[in-house]
Amino acid sequence: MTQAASTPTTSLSTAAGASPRGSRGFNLLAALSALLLALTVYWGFVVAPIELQMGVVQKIFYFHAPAAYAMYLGFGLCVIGSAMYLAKRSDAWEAIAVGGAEVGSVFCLIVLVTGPLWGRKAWGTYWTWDPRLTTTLLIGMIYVAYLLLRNLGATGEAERRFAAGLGILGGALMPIIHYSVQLWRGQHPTVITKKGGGLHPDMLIALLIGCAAMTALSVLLIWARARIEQGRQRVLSLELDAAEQGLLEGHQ
Amino acid sequence: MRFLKRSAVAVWLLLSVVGQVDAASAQATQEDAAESRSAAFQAVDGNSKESVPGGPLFIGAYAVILVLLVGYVARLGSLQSKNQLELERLSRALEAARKS
Repeated sequence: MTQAASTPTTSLSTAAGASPRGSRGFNLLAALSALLLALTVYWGFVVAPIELQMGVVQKIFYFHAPAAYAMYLGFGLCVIGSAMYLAKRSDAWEAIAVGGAEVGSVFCLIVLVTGPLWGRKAWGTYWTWDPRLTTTLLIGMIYVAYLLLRNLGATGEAERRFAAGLGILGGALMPIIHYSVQLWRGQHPTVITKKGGGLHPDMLIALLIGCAAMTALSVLLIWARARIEQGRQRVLSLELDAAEQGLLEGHQ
Repeated sequence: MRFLKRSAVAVWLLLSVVGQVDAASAQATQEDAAESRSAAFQAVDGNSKESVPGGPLFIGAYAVILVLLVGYVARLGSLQSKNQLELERLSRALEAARKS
């Protein structure tokens, strides 16, 4: 029995090491994210001028638009992770898919809450069934369904494959959201598209710093979430191994 | 009398045309403002005037961003702690199994 116990016990240190804390790259990325977020706040609030027609509420834009890019990044990684999971049945890729979906959903929620607050001032209403708003709401609902399936449902192979399929399906909406303001006539601003009239140079700098900050932050959060998911998968797998070897009888 | 009637009709027609032109001009101005607001953000020249108070909306938006991000980091911490507890429980169970 002592001999049999050695395999799961040895693996415990590997599972414990799943925490991203302590990794030099992780700490550097965390510091970079904090620095860029502080710089976005400074540039957006202090340096960038107040907008002519909307006033101070336009400054929501410096986090709203970058949050949308971070949402694309999260959901994009979920699509890649899901496709790779289906191809290789690798837990690591599935952990990336879960991390991407969860972080993408957080940024999607930020987009869906801050956008209407801006819209109340710019359009006189919190919500309108504009193509971009509607498709963003739809993709958010798809990935929330993905997360519910992964977290609340059974964790068998069939459920994992179905969730991976849903993760890939949700990704098909991303190009539709992105090009919706160009394909259909809606109310959503087109400032940073070819149709737009552009931005004041200081507003553009604030937007670019915001995009860099949200990219760094989303990668950091996906990294942390994926490592935690990998740790959870390893603990589950060790528990199963130990139970199969009869080591956990009477100790549960 | 006939002259007066014709004059009244002429004045009415003139006013209608002017009214239509005014309405069309107001609509065009509104569309121009909406188009401009949708296509470009411009810096204000001088003091800014606010018709709908944007301050509470602006503060609300940033408060929501802060709460969501801090809340998500807290969730990550909670998940990590849960993993750690599971590991400790498993370690204790395996240790007990080894001793028996």
